[in-house]
Amino acid sequence: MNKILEVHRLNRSYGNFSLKDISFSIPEDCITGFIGVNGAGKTTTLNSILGLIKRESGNIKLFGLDMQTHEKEIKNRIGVVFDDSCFYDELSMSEMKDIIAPAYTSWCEDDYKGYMRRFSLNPKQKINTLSKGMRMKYALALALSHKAELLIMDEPTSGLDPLIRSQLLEILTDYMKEGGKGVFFSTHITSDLDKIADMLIMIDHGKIVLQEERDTLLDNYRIVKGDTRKLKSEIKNLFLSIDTTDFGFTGISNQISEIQSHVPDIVIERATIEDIMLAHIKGGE
Amino acid sequence: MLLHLIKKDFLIAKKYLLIMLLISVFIPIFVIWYVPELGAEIGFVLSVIFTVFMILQQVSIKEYQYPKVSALLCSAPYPRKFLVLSKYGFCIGIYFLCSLIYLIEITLFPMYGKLSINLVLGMFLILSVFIGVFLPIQFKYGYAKTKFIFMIVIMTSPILFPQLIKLDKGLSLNIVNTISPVFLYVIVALISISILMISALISIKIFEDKDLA
Amino acid sequence: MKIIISNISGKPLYQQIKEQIKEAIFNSEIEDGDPLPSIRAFANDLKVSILTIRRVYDELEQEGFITSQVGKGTFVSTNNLELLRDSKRRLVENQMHEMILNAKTLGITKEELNNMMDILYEEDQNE
Repeated sequence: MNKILEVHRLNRSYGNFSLKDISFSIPEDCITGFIGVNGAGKTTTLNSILGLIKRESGNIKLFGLDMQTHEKEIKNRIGVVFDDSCFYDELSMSEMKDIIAPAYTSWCEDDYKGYMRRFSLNPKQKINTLSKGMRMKYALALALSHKAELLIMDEPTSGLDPLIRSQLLEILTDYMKEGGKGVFFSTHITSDLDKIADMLIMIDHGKIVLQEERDTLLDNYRIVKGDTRKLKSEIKNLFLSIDTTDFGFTGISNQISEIQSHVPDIVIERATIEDIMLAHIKGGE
Repeated sequence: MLLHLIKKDFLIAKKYLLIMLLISVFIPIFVIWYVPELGAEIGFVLSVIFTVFMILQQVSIKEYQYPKVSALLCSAPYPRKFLVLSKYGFCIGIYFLCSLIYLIEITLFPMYGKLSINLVLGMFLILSVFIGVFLPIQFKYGYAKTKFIFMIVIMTSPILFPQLIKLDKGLSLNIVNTISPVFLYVIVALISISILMISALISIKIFEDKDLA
Repeated sequence: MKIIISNISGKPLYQQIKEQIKEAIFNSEIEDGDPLPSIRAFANDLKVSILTIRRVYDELEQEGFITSQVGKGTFVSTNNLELLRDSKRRLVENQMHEMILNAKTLGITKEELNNMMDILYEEDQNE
């Protein structure tokens, strides 16, 4: 499978925060979720990829082309959705569109009109009269109206109610149907990823902590519960993270059979993405 | 593409633009009525400086209010240098509008003054110096730190310019006599354009390295 | 074809799906030449990632249960099935030969062997 985005050893520091040697790649035809808690470095990474902030080292390739040398061509092929307030609120949607659209060589006015209709948005309406959900849909309409092959989104669902979130996920699923496309979105709402992500990349404290297919992650990690008294220190090491109380322990691990051989009496349950993410973060501390 | 970005600035200053253009209509008239000894030319000069700076301030306020728009524009295929050049284009565009208004005024009331080449080129030079110095500073430090400059220019121009014109009238007589007029016009135009180009290059360099998010 | 994914099972998702498709083929629920859903549609319906379905289809194709034709889709293919069944039978036969040889050496009778077979078969069934 082709790699639609490749990031290689990206470094960037900001005062007391830095991105350290960020490297990852995203295959095409996949929806990739970029997860991490607030402040982990998701937005900084996205901004570096888009060239909005300068990187100190490392290189970025999209569609096999180097961002340094093919910036304009690449930007023509990506659609971008930021989390909020990236429009002049006093303008109407149609006026704002007239500012953005001419930048793209493949802008398709019919696609734009189609999306505005589908999202029930009136182009003449002023942006500051829109709810957060409508603004996100508008941003999506703009991002999807120039035949973009990769959609990059920074926390598109934060602050949105479950109905709109599920509508967004549906729109993304539709977008992917044609094939040859990709979606890369950062979020800390892991329940959305449980539903549509194919690939997960997790960042914590400026470093990439994991990069894995979602189903493989869900297949390999389990929640393990058992008797605290049976927990010896060698077994603790088999866990990614573990919580103990007087009544038992709960932990996340991907070495279930090992644990089972030491402590046969355990309850095993499937973990969610959130469980696995939190375990990685806690385990890292 | 560049035109669209210039259009954007006009769009965001839309409401203010109308008011300012009206003001630029009245400034020359005001000058002629109350201080006719200075000549309507002063009115023209003042109206250009006033209008350009006040509208520029308005656009800068909006951009300061919505900083992420630049991020959105730069994640689109708009090259950063076009975002810089569009500011210069915008200022020059306003200059043309003011000139047009002045032209209409003196066509309707020819006794108030004339739009000589001297005035047009001289004003262009003055404008080039102003925005040539100011825009790179604003690109470097942002609106918040530089908004006082707007205040200073707008407040002091009614006082400074009459003085400057008096000086200039004294100076220009000597220089104009020694060089042929056409040559002078070309030199002044070239100087203005060079100032703008150098300023634009500096601004572009500043903006290329700026973090937009 | 019924594919039910269990959240409680310890088996990886792709394996569950693969086995249930194989079962459907063995039970003739789907037959030679029947089309299988597109990767994306299948992934959406089962609520799994397309990468998982892709792996299922790749492995099933390698094992000879399905074929995919570019532009046309994926289809059940039982042509290799008989061959597969035969070769798998032969594998079991060989293992049985070895087992019988070992049993004879250790003095285990045919009856004991059958009993052991019954018990072990039941145990494996319950796993």
